[in-house]
Amino acid sequence: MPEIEMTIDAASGQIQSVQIQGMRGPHHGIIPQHLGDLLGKPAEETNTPEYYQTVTRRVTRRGGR
Amino acid sequence: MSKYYTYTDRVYASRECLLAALNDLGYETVEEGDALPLYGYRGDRRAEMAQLVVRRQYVGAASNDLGFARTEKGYVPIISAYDVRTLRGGQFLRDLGLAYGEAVAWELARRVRGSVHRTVQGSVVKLVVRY
Repeated sequence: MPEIEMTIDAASGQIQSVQIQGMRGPHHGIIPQHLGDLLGKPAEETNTPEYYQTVTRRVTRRGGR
Repeated sequence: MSKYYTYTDRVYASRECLLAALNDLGYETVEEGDALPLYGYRGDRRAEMAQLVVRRQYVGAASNDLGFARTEKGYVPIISAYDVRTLRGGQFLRDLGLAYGEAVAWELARRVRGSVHRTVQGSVVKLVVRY
């Protein structure tokens, strides 16, 4: 199940990190846009290994050449 | 007379989430305008202007207005030294940040039709939106 994890420093109330998890490839859809609307541009952005995983779809044809 | 300071390291990108966070802290009445002047506890008009203002009568007897100025990145708080020192035991900005984070999580959950799960791990509040 995809999820967005946000951590906040309880002592300062400042957001430390936001991570999108459970989605492979650079296909997070509209989530980064929502995060930009609500939190602004991140100070630093890092792609997790999941980001670089490709999603392949196999199509099998029957009866063709 | 307490001096006003602008906290540019505290940026609230979303007006709606900022209003929700203020409401969560009990500040339900917020004035909104293009260039609202801020007033001190004696009713003295200050030089600082803001787009969102919690008037002092809704803050506390000896308090000054709380302002939030709109910038390119979002709203930044303009708060007097006295109020930063005394509001919510001197933890107003911390509490507002936590409330803002929660408001963001709930707004994200609403947009993706998900749910919010909150946990505290030591000195870190973790908010997870599942969808």
